Amino acid sequence: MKFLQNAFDSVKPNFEKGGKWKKFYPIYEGHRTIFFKPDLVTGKTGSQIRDAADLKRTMFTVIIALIPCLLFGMWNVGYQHFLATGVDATNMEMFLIGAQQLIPIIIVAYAVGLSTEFTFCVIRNHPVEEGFLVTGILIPLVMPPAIPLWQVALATVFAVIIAKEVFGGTGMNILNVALTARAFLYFAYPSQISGEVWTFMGDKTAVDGYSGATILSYGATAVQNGSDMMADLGGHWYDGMFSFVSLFLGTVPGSIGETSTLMCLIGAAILIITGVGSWKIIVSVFGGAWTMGLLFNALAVNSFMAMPAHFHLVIGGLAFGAVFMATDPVSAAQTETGKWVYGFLIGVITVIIRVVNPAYPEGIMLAILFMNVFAPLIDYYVVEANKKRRLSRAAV
Amino acid sequence: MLTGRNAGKDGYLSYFHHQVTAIPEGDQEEFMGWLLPSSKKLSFHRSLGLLSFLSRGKERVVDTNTNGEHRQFVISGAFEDVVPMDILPTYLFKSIVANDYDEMEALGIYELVEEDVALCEFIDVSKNEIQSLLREGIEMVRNS
Repeated sequence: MKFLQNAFDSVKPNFEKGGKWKKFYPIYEGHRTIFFKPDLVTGKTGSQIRDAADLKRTMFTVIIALIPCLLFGMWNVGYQHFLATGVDATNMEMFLIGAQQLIPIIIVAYAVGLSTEFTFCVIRNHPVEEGFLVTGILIPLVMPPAIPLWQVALATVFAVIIAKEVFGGTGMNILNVALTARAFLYFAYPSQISGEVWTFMGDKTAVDGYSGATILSYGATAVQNGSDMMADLGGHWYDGMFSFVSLFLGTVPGSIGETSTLMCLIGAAILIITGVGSWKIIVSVFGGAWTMGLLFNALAVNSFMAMPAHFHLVIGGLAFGAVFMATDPVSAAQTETGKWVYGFLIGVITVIIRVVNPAYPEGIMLAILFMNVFAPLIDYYVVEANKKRRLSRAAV
Repeated sequence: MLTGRNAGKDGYLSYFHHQVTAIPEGDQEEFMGWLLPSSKKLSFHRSLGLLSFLSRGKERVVDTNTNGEHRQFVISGAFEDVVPMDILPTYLFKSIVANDYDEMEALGIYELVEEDVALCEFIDVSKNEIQSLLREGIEMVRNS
């Protein structure tokens, strides 16, 4: 790899002090550190050796954990497409058409996001940080498959600037960046991110009786009409679409990466084994949603409330949000006790928004953003408790 | 090694030094060093490709490379695992960065010296110089 090093060395003087492009040093440095672990050494004093883990590796672990969701998402986009258009197709064809739809979204998210990030690094003169590696893949996965590319670009720019860079970059943000992107589209272009957008059709027409409704919109409709939700589900145009098993496996319409609870659980296993994601948050989100589901079961005023509580764990984006969004270490609660409270409340609020507020069929996005804002407050009380405990021990 | 001074090639020792350790200098780049899996690298974490947790007893060569660049505090929950006291290290360090005297005292800066947080500095994914930061904080409350 000497030639790459030489190539970098030969352009280096241009980016250093006195060079003609010295403003763009962060860009040079950002690229070099992708290929090479930097030659920095420990300081004169303090620890003379350092752990082999760095933030790049940590972030990359999350990307690996997302791959099952990504691949399944590609296949599912194709599966839903052929199902809706009534064409028989092989798994490979399904996967390819999904990839054809999904890859442009990923490219746009990364290209636009990284350009924004690089621009900010140059203006603010701080090193290129790794946060966007994960955000760039999370954004496509929380979008509906039929999303226009310009909206992806706009949402990405908005999220990177407003959710992250104005606070000072990776590690300083209050809100989860990828969810901010989705929330932006959700409120700015509601017609394109809800309703019949969950199946990609292209120029094909749908089969008779087709409806792109997700199970959550069934719930919302049932609440409004006072009809029986579970019976409505049985009358879906495709028999068995919303059985517990297919909801768990994820063969249902929805955002690209979020449909499969199974794939999210594989991702969760990777995050937990590597210690990158907090198992406390993941477990407590599921626990909170289930508890709230049971509570609604007990009330059972309408048929959505009466839906079995375990359904809440597999429908919508709860699993995806719990595993990949709620565990974002920067925007989550940072104390260990705080994580339990934070996760549990996310689960509870998700189910409340789903069931009680028919204007918002899915609650996980708003629940996580809401708890992101409240996480410092939870931590504040945990820290205060720690101070009190220590004070009471002090024998002065 | 965890709390030490780099004496350098022509360095000297003083009255208080009682141990000398020679380790290789890590001032060279490593191709894809942040990504490739390895069981030779010593790590407290289990992030992708860091396999040292599978063979904890094995001897490893460590050098002075920082294994990454400085970043903001991102990961939570790791420092608490390597500090035996009932102290919240991340909050203490952040209060030092913010020059918040009351917070530093309340979070227990008087109970610590550099060596107590040496492991925090070693395992820190964001490569902060935590021991000098703590000393800065101690000096701050001392001189206030």
